[in-house]
Amino acid sequence: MPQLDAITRRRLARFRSMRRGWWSFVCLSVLCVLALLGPLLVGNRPLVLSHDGAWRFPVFSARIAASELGLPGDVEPNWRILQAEWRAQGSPSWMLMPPVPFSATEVCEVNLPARTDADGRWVSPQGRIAEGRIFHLNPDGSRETSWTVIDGRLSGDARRMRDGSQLARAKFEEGRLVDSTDKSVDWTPRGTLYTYVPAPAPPGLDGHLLGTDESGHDILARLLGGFRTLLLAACVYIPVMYTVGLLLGAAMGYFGGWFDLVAQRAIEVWSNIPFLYAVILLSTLLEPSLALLMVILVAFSWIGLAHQMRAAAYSAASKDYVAASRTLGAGHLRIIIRHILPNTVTVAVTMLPFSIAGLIASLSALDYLGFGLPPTEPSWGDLLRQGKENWTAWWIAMPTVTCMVGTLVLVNFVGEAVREAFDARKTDA
Amino acid sequence: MNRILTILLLLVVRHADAWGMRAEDVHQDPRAAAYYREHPEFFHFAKPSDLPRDLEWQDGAGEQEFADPAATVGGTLRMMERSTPPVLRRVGPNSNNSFRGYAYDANDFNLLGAHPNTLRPIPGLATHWAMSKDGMTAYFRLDPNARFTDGQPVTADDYLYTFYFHRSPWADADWYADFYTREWGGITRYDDHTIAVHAPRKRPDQIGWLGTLQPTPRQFFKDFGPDYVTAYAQRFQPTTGAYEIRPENFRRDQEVVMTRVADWWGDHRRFYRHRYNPAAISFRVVREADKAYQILLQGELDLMLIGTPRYWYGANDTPAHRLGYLTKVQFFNDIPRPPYGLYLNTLVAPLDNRDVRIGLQHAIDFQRVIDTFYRGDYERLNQFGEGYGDYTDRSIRARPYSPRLAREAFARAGYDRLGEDGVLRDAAGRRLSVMLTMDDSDRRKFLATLVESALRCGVELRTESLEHTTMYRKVMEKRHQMCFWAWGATGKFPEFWQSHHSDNAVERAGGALIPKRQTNNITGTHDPELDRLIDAFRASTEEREMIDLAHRMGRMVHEEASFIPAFRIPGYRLGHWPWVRFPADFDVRSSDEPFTYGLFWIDESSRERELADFRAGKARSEPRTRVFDRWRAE
Repeated sequence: MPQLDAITRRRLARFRSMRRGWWSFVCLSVLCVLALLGPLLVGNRPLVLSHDGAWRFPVFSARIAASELGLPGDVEPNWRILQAEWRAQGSPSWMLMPPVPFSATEVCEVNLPARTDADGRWVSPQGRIAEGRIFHLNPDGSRETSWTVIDGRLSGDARRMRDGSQLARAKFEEGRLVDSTDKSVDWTPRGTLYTYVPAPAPPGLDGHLLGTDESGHDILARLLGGFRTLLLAACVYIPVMYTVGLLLGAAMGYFGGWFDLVAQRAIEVWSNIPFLYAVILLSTLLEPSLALLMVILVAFSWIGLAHQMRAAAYSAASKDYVAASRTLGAGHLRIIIRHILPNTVTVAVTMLPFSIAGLIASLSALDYLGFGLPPTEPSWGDLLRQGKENWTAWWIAMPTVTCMVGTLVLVNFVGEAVREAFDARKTDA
Repeated sequence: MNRILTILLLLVVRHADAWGMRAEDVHQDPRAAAYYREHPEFFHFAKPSDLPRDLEWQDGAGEQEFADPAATVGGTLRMMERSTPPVLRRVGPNSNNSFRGYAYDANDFNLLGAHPNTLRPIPGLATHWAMSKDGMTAYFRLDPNARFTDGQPVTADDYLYTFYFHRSPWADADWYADFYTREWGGITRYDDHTIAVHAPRKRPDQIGWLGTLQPTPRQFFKDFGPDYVTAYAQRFQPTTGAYEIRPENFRRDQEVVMTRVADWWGDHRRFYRHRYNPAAISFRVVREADKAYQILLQGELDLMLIGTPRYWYGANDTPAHRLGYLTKVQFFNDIPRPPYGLYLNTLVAPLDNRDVRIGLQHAIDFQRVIDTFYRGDYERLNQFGEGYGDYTDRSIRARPYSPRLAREAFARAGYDRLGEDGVLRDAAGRRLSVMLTMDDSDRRKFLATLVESALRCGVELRTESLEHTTMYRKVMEKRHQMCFWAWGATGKFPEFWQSHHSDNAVERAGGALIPKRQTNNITGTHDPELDRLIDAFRASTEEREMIDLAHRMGRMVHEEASFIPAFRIPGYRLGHWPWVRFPADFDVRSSDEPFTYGLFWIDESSRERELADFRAGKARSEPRTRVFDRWRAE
C-alpha cells in the first residue's frame, strides 16, 4: 500500500465506517467489474467452441466465417441456432455461450410454434391467436406461406412468397377459403407452422429473461450495454471535465485580479448559452456519437466545478504556506499543483459522485429526447422512451427505471459518505 | 333596438364579407396587366362571339354522384397534427410541408375534377367544358357562383393571374415557374366566366391536363411584390375549398382550426354537395403519434389513421375498441403508390459507384421489416413508379435481399476484403460505411433490422434519426448520403422529371458540377440518356409511345439503382368513434384518407351521450373491425 498521510487514512477509515456509503461503493464496484467483463457475460458469440477436436475462443477472436466450420457462407453463423442444431443432431461439437446469449445490438425474432386446438382454432403457447399470422419458416428466417388469423380462425389474406416476391395470394373468411389468385396452390396450412410474437415480446420467451424491446433487442443485454456506455462515458468525461474545471478554477482563485475578472465574465457569457439548444444545434449539424456528446457535456459542465474550485483556491491562496513557498521562490504552476490543489481536494472529491449522477441523468435525458446516441446504440434513455411509448409493455420501463434509480441511489449514497468523510472541519477536529 | 342594430350590423358585415364583392370590384394588378401585354403569344383576349360554334359542351351528367345524401353539415372534427407548418404561405420556400395537404391540396378545386371511381372528368369550378377538334384547346364555362374562401368571386382573370403569379421571380418557386411555362400553351379570356386553355403540345388525357388549372385570388395578392416570401409567409392564401384558416385560428405550435365558409358554393353543385361536412376541423398539435393515439382512445380525437401495427393490433386490447366504440376500418384503395424507400445520393462517395448501389440493393432486407415490424401487413414495393396501371412495367421487381449477391457487387466495386469487424474494405483500406438518415417517426425502430441485415453483407450503416423538419432541410440541401424518404404519388403516369432529371440534380458553378439545392432530385441522378427519355416523355403526343417511354424510364431508374424500394401500403387503416359517420361504401377508389374526398360527417348530437356511456364503461356493441376491399388492386 502506498504511503498515505494520516489525514487521508483517517478519512478513508471514516468512509469505511459509514456502512450505507461503503456498501453502495462495493455494489457499484462489483457492477463496474461485471460491465467490464462485457462480452463474457452478454453477447451472441460463444466463450468456448469445440469443433472437430479443436478448441477456439470466439469471444476473444476475430470473426469466424461459417466456411471455417465447414458450413456454407462467408458470414459468421448465428451461434445460438448452430448450438441448437448441434444439440439436436447429437453432434460432438459443442459451445459455451455467455450467460446472456444475446448481443445488445442484435435484432431477435420471437417465433412460437402454432397449432390448432380442439375447436380447430389456431393457438400458440401464449393462447388463442387474437390477430396475427401463421407461417412456414425458411432456413434463412424468411417466410414461405403465411396466413392471417383473427380470433383463432383463418381470416383475411394468405400469401405465398419466394425470393422476396409474392407468388400467389388467397383470401379467407371465417376459416374458409373464398378466393385465390392461383387455384393450383393448396392453401390448407400443414407442417410446422410458427406465429410471430411482435416486438416488444414479453419476458420468458425464447430465452429472453426480460423480454425484448420495440426493435427486437434483448432487454437484459440492452440494459447491460447501456450501463457499459455510461461507464465508458464516465471514464472519459470525469477526467476531462475535472482537468478543465480544477485547473481553471484554481488559477482564477490563485491569481485573482484581472485574470479572475476576465475569466469570470467569460464564464458568465458562456453559461448563458442554453445547454439543450446547443446540443440540439450541434447534433443536427454533426453526426451523433458518444465522443460528440462527451465534448458537449464537458463544455457545459465544468463551470460549476470551476466556481467551487475558485472559492476554495481563493481562501487557500491567502494561507501562510502559500506565501511561504512563494517566498522560497516557487513558480505559480508548482504552487497550484503542490499546494492549492491538494488543499482543496475536498471540493473535487465531494462533487465527484454527483458529477457521475449528473452525467448518467444527462446522457439518458438526451437519448430520451432523441438527441443522444445513434438510434441503434444501447442506452437507458432510449429504453425509457420506449417504456413511455409502450406503457403496456411493462417489461421495458420497469427494469430500466429500477436500474436507473438504483444506480443513482448508489452513487448518491457514495457521494454522501465521501462528503462526510472528507469534510474539512471534521478532519481538523 | 340595440339587438336589431347588432343584427343589422352583422348582416352588413357578413354581406360585405362573403357576397359584397363583385367581379369588377376585384383588384386588378397593373403589373399583371402589363405582363399579359408583354406576352401576347400566351395571354389572349377575345369576345364571347369569338367562341367556335361547333363545340360539343359536356357537363359530366352521366357520372354517378358519390357522396352520401344523408350527410349533414355541422360539428367539429378533432384531428391531430405533429406540428404547425413553418410557413402558411402556399408557394415559395418551406411551403412544401406536411400541413399543405389539408390547407391547400385537398382544399382547392380545379376547372375539372376526376371522378374518384371511374377517373373520368366531372365538373369542377367549370360547369361545362368542350375540347377543340385538334385536341389542343379546352373551353370552360365557369360557375358564376364559385367564390374563394375570402368571398372574392372566381372569374376568368384569376386564371390568367395564376400564370403571372407563379412565373414571377418574387414567388421564388422554380418548380412552379417551370411548370406554368412549359406545361401550358396559353389562355384566352372570353368574358368573366368563359375561358379557353391552350396546350403546348399534344398529349393523352389532354382535357384532364388542361382541366387541372387552378385560379389564384387576385384580391388577396393586391400587395404582391418583391417581399412576397416574407410578407405573405404567415397568411393563408384563400382557396376555392370549403375551409379557410382565419388568423385567429392559427396558434403556432398549439392548434390550427379550419372553419367552413358560410354558404360554400359547392353545397349547390352536383358532385360537391354533401361533402366536407364538419363545420370546423381542429388540428391539435400533438408532437408524438403515441400520445395522439392515447388521446384517440379517450375519445378526444374523432378519428386517426392507425396503420402502424402497434396501433392497429394494440387497439384490440383497449376499452374503446372492446366496448364497441372505436371502429377499426381497413380500406383498400387503388392509387399510385408513394415510393417509400432509401434514396441514395449518387453524387457522394461511395454511392457514386453503381456497383456499391447494386450491392446495397441486395443488402437491405425490407422483406424482414415488412414481416416483423409491419407484421406482414404491408407489401414489398418493386419500383419507383408503381400503381400507374399500364404505365407501370410490372416485370420490374425489387432486388431480393441476398448477402451473396451483395458481396459480389461490392467486390466488383473494389470492396473485396473483409475486416475483423465484418465490414468490407477496399485496396486502400477504406471501410464500406454509409450514413443512413431517417426521421424520428416510428420507422426509426426498424433501423436496427436494416443495420443488422447490411452488416451480414459486409456494409456498415451508420444511422441518425432527425426531427422531421431538420431531416427535410438536410435532404433538400443534398447533404445526405442515404435517406429514408417517400414522395407523394398522384396523377395517371409516373413523374420522373422532378426526381430524376439532371435539371434538378446538378448545376454548374465555376465550371464544376455541384449539387442543386432545394429540388426534388435527391438521388443526384444526372444521366443524359434518361434526360432524353424524360424530355421525350414530356413532349410525347401519343399514349402508346408514352407507355413505352414510361417503361424504359422505369427500367433505367431500376438499373441506376439509386432507389431501394421499401414497401407499399395497400390502402389505409383508421380508427373512428361512432359519431363520425361514413357512407355505405366507406370511401372511394382514389382516396388515400377520408379527408381527401370529405365524404364523412359528424353527428354532434350523439357525441356527448356516447362519450358518457363509454366513460361509464357501458358496452355499445361487439368489437367492430370492418374491411372494405371493393377496390383492392393486386
